[in-house]
Amino acid sequence: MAHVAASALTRRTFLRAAGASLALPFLDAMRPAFAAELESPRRIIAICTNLGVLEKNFFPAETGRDYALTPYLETLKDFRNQFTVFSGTSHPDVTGGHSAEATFLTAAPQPGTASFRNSISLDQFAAERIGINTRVPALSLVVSKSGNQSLSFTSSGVMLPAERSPAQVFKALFVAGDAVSVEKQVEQLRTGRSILDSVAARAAALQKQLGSGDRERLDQYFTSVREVERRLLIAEEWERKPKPKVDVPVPKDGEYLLEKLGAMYDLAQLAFATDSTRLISILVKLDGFSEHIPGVGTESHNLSHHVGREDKLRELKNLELAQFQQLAALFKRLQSSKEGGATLLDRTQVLYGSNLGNGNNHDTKNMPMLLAGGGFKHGQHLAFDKQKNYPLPNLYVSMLQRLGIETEKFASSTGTMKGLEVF
Amino acid sequence: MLVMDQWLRPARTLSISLVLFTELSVVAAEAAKEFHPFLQKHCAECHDEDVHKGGLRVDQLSLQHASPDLLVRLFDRIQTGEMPPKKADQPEPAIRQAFLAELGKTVVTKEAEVAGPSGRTLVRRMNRVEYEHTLRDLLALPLLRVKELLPEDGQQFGFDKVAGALDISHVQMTKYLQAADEALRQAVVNVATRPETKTWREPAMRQDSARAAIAQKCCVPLNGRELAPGLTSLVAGNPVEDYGNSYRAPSFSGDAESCAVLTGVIGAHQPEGIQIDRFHPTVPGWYRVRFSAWSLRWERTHAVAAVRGMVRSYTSLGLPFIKDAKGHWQATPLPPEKLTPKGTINYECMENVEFYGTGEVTHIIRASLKGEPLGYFDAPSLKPTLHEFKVWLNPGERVSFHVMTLPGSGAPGGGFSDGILDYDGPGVAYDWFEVEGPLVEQWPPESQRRLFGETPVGKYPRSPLAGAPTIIEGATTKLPLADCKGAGQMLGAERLLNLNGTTTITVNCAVAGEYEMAVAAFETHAGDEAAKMTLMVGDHEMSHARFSVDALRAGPKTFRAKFRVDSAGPVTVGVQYVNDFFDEKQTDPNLRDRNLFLANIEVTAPKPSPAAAVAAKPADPRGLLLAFGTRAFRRPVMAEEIAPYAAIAEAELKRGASFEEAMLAGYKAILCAPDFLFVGLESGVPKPGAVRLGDYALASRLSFFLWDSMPDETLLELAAKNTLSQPATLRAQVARMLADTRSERFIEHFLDEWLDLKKMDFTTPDPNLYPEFDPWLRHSMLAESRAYFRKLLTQNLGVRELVTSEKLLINQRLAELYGIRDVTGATLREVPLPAGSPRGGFLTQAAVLKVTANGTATSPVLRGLWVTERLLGIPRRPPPPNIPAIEPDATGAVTIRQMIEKHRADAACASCHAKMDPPGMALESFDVIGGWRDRYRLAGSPQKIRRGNESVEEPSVLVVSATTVGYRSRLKLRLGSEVDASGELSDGQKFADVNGLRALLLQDEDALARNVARQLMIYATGAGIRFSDRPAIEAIVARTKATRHGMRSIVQEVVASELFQTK
Repeated sequence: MAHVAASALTRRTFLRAAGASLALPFLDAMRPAFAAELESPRRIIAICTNLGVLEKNFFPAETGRDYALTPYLETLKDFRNQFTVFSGTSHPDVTGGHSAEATFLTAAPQPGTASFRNSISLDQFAAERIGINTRVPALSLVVSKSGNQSLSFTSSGVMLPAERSPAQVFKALFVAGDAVSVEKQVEQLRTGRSILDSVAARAAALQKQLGSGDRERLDQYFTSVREVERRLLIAEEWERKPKPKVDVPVPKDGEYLLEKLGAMYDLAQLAFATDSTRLISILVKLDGFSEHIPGVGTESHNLSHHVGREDKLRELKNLELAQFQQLAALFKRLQSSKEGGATLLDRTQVLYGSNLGNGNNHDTKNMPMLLAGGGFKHGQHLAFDKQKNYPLPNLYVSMLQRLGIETEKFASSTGTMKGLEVF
Repeated sequence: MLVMDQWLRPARTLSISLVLFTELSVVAAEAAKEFHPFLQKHCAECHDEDVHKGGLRVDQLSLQHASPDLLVRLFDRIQTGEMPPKKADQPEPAIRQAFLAELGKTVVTKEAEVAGPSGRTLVRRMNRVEYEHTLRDLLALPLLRVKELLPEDGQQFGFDKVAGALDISHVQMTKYLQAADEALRQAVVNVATRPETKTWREPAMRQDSARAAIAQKCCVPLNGRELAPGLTSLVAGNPVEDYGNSYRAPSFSGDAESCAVLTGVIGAHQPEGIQIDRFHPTVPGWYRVRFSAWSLRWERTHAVAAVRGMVRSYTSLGLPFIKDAKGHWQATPLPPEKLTPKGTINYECMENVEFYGTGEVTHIIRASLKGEPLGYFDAPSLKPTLHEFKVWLNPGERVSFHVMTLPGSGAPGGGFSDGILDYDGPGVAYDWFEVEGPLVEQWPPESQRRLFGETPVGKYPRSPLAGAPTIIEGATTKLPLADCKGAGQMLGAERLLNLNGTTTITVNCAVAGEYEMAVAAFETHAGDEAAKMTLMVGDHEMSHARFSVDALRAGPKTFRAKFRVDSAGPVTVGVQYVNDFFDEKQTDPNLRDRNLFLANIEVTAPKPSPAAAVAAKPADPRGLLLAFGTRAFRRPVMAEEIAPYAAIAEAELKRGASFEEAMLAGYKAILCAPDFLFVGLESGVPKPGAVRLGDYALASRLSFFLWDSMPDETLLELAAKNTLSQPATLRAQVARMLADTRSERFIEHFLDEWLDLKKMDFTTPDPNLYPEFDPWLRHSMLAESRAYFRKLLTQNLGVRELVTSEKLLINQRLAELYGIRDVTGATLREVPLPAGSPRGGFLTQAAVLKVTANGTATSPVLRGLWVTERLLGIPRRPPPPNIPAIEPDATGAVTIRQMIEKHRADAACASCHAKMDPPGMALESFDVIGGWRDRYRLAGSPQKIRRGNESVEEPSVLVVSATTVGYRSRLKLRLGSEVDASGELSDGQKFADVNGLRALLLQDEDALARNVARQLMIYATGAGIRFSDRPAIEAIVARTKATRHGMRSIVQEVVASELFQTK
């Protein structure tokens, strides 16, 4: 069983980290970090399984607190009072089937159309405000056969590629280099900055001479260059700070769905417990997986188009059950990590769901959604109109507020989540 | 009115009319004052405050304030006669024309305002495909792979070339730094001398993978056509009569003339197939691979002509092995009576002789590297045939060979669990493999020359480090121990290392060459070994530099090691102490603690040599950067523009970096500069206002269009002479560029986006329903569509060939899929279209039919959408909100047609779907992999059903499986309901099947040409086609009429168009 060297470490790590930063040349970028951090940090992990969840096995028939557990929720029964199920919610004006994977955390309307532009994702919205406090502002992860598609998008709607390898993330977070390689790394970061400085100057000169449309393009370039410079500078400072020590081996990347997913969830718990980040997104891209899942023999995407066939529905249920069992394991790990007087689960909002309400016909309405932990009064099924869905971005506003971010709006939200109360 | 007339031509013949004019609800209040008389008279009845059909209100519509998009939709409705509706009073033609002219003029003005001074197109960054190709061409690294490092690109108007979709984020920028670094490092070789080209050749049977395949029972050693002697059991003493037992693998360690493979996949443990694994490339480079192979039919002990027939497995006969003198079990030919299969057949299955007949078979071999195909090769029956190809190999890489036409060529599966000596079936023999290389055309390689010219890398003096001791040529210099850094401390005149660690000191070496370091050291002894030290230079050990310091204070010993310095400048040397030891239990305090003492360090520099004097010629960083920048920026570069990049290189040199490292930092900055990354800056900063592109910008627009990359020297020379923009020159250049192999990139990329071929791997066909789908078919599908487009270009065939053709361009695998006999081999060739065939054009090519289906079922909606959008150019609009999608159902309860009918019932759906769905219905005759079907396939084997008094089997189809092995390779699949491919277009024209649809699509070739011109123009210029651009598109349609809109003519006219040549 992997465990963190000191379980009450987070607080101390933070204090130590804060002390170290104060001693460094004072960076504008880092200043907000030291404001009002009196209690242990709050966090979000958002997980999207990309091919939908069979509704009859997920949504309870009854609403409110006294609902009967459905087959999938049965796997989470130990945590019944620590999560809320939402039905009848979706992102307004999000259609376009699989292309809605890109909008799970952004809620940008009409993905898949020619003129579509994405907007900032929940995790990045939060990272812009609290990301400065941790070594990694936000972690974007993906469990996939190939590719590094992610749930995370910048404010200009550009996808941030996700990390596929738990081993590499682990190394970046926890494996310290020796003094020489740290120096070398810092040296490279500095060279990187001077390169960026020269090209930024060139872009600035060009911008002055261009027409408005072209200027906007160059402006985007210029902003990105400055942003990388800023990040390299912060990276330089972090490079010199000791990495937290965890006494678990480097995780294996794995080949099959369940081992990949398990490794990512373990990594998430470690990253939170060491306060290496407070924001994680995980896209579970099922396409192509089928091996080593009990009771599953058919490729996942294929299964999601079950076309009503009993055999496929059976396999699909097994595929989805296996994922819920992994989720239960994540809950358990977060629950058993103590932090001050609370558990990590108390301090971590776990958002789980899918961009598809129905994988069989690519419907994006009635998204299967669930929120656990993080300091909300849970234990109920909040049911909304299946015909005229309730805006899901409202939940995101509630989540951001619970994180301590003062915002009234996220994407197409109309308020905060109706019926969801905080402790 | 001349210009106006051009807008008045029908823009889209099948224009989709569903528009929710919702945005109109917000219109300036004063608009009412401008209520246009035409709208008042002809539109207000249905589109006023009370009724506002489709969400449109014209009583508040102001031409001046409405969005151009909305006005264009009005224009198209009125112009095509869709509005006012047929039953309403129609405006006089002249009045209609006048209103349309006014509307058109308003739109053009508005669009010009929207575009602003930047014009129709914007400067844009390269997409990642272009970025990779450009780096390949710039650095002469034809196989560079950096695309996957970069985030995926966005898309607009269907293409990843459009400025608005090509954003830059900090992630993109970070990845550019990384990708540039990786590419530049690959361009520089780390090998000092020109590598020697050698030829290696060995029998196939000697490869480890071939021997392993024998253990998997997938392979037989052959001499001539007979089983070669020497097959034994791997497990000593194990009776080989148990040959069929999968735990007891056979073994072969002798020599044989050939290695005959009997299955497409060699077991789960060897998915890489047969490899050339005894040749180990050590130098990255091009290699020429040759091999010889032939097809056969294996009959238990020997090979016969490769004819199709019964694939059989016999129960194990036991007797073919006897012990030899050494006690090994040896194979012997079976006695003839045992070869009579009577009564001993386990399983059998007839090959697909119904389709192929029993003539001789040519099997197909695929060579691949790391899963990427290198080529497909024919292996004729019993005729050893030599094949050859070129491949770039990195150290340790191996080429793999698979037979695509043997059972089990799909997903990795097992080999035969029964012995090969109990098996009759098809096979392919490899005789030998040959590798010649590395093929060196020049040295240093072109990639390094592109960066450093003739300058030998790593030989240039670097700035000395201030304060460090200098080691002069030929002299020996004593280093100050007190100045050493890192581990240890001074103890008197000596340096003590009492813990493991490295102590280092930096010295300035005056010249390049071989140096010697001498370290006088002793130890205080403890434990059972002497103190150990290693002499270091930089991060590396010097050669032969690990020493045991078996000397005490009384008599220090001197240890020497040599190291190379590539260029004059600072070098860090050091001593590493590796085996610290302390024994607290030791009673003698003098034997308790092992420590290392350094008494003296000296470094001796090489003697001056004439060669070093030549190499010390000062390098010219600015000159090199200027030359590189000029190519990278695709235009002449001023010396002062290079200054910032030179400053980076110089700063690195000052810091003590090597010449190579410093220059790479400078090159990296160039590769991250906007001038490199952005297309459209080549003729200087574009002047506001729609002006013609300068010749350099034109050269880049042309090369990024047809080569997905930077212009070559010819284009840049023409640009320098300002002659590129001359029409005749431009025509000649387009012809030259299309003939160049780089135009393959255009074909691949354009079709990937236009026809959606990039979606080839989005879904995998359900192996239970389509077990015949295999990697060769997948490859052939893409190859067909690409080669077909190449043919349209080369032969300048007209747009009608998009939907029909007289000849097919297919190979054996596609012929099988299309049901066409007598096509043998892997190469695509022209085959006359058989009478009555449903094939022809992109419309019915397997690749298109595959990308428009999911792996299980087809949807007429998606295929219909593909036809209307990709072939007819009618853009889709998103469905109205809160409309659930159709739920696919293959339980047989509801047919797809019944579900589609629902679209007709709902008016909101019908307005689009009435046009979208029908072409898709015609394509229902094709399954998800593009095969013809009369009935839908169902999972499972056919069941007995009662028909009247009889018990009959359900309809079924016999399918060759790509994933199962040997005798299990043909499966019977259930069939369901019959396909009905008839339909009716929205204008009432009926068709019975796909050929009927084809005829209807061919009625309007202008529409097909208009769409191709639009798609090419978007792709070529990176901007959408606006209303104002319609005349230019119509001009292309008109000018290509003479060739019936030949594909090459359209490309030529796109380039000749003012849209292409202006900003």
